[in-house]
Amino acid sequence: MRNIINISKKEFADFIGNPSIIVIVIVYLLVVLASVLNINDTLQGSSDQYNISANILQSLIRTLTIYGSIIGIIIGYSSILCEKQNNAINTIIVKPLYRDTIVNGKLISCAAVMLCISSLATLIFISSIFILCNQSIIQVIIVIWDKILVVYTLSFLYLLFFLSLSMLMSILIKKQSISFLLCIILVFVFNNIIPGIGVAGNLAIIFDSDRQLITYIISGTSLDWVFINLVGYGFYDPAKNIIDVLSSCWFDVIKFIYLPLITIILCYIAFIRRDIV
Amino acid sequence: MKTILLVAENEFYLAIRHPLIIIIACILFCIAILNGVASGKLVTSADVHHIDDNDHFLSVGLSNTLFYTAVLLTSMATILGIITISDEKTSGTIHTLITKSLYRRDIMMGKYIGMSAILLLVTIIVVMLCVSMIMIFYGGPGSISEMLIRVGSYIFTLYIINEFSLSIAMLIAIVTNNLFSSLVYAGTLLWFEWFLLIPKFFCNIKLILPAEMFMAIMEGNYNGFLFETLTPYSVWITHSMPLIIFTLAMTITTLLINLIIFNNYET
Repeated sequence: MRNIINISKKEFADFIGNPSIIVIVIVYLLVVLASVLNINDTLQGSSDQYNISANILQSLIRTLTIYGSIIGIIIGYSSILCEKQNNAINTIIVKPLYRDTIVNGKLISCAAVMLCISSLATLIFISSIFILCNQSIIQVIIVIWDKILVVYTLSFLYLLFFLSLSMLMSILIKKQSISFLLCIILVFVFNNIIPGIGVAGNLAIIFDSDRQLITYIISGTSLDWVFINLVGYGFYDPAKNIIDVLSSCWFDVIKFIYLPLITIILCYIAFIRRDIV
Repeated sequence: MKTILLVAENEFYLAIRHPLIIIIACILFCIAILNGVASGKLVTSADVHHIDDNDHFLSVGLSNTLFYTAVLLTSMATILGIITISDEKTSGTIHTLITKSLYRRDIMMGKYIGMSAILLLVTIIVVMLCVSMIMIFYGGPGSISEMLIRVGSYIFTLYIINEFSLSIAMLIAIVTNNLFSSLVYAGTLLWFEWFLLIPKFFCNIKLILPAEMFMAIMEGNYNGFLFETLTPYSVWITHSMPLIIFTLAMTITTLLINLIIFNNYET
């Protein structure tokens, strides 16, 4: 346990001290601010609670998931690359440490960094709304605080999935430029092309009789699609109880648990079994 | 000129066998084929249910592939820009290259021309594949001349945006010291330029983002979409021409900056 904590501390310090990561996080936080300014523009003069709630939750989801996923990919990728680049990973592996201690330490530190960044982003988002937006928007924030917590939790699991996916690609693919760029391409393909008109939409048109089923099966592989489907369950409605909403869509929400779990297990298997050079 | 073309030829053959380029090209071909097969029913249905006098061959069939094609081609341009410089810096071959009896500007121009040739080839093949698949499964457009001029403009717009992305990626690769930084900055720029919703008072930022420029050009600077045949082509070209010229100017400027920085590059 002590070894895991030592490795996590060292990894955490490496992330905090990496100038490229600091620059990207600063850019991300500016993007969060830009999202709040967008909300302010969109909701000028609006007092409809549902409209305000939908805009805030959609913007928060977009900020934490779509914009934040690149941060998750970078964190996961850098945890393996930095050591491969310096050849430190070969040194670590020959030390009297189990490989699963090393990968546990790396996963814990990456998750901790991701938790810090997403918490900071959420805090900046909420506090900027309080500072920049008008009273009607602030009142809705107070009403939907439980939904904001759910979005924060699901977004963290979403980011954990991309983090572990990029770690997995870094471990499996020797050439680092290929692993990072391939990860970005795959994320785009699985989040946009496959559930969108590119694949699901076109296949649904080709197999006309089973359109809805095909769209549901193919689009359901994407975590972004789960967020989109939450609208249908009344997630954006401030009057609806969060427990009722989650209990009606638990089958979709559970994907946020088993998909990151699968990629983390695959990371374990790949790191423990594979020759890292 | 001969040395530039030699470097360009070498870069072309190296990059065309890169696994990422092959993967992206395969994804683009699959999307083109799938879109073509689906267009048989989709475009026919649009002809029946959406009577808006637009030629649905373009406004429905071809415009369905617009977003994915543009994102994947700019990703390809970014990847090419990074691998041509950063991979060489990492492996150390750039030090060998610089010691050869070649002007540094020839090396940089050769790399740029080699990558541009790949982008032009892939852009033309992908768009032609999309068009031919729609023709096979749906049928011909309402007017062949209209289709040729608009599809030609689409290919040209895609190509100049890819050139812009390529020059920005090469700039990032030259300026950053290591592979990790260049990948992180280029990857983040690629991600945010396509998915960021820009606030209204930052709207001028589109002038430096290839993705925003692409959308603005295709929309005729928001005066009429290229694929909507109701908008006369002359209206589209009048409003898009300033943006096209600006994009070309930005590409040339970025390329000149690359040349200056690479000339002063200390190994």
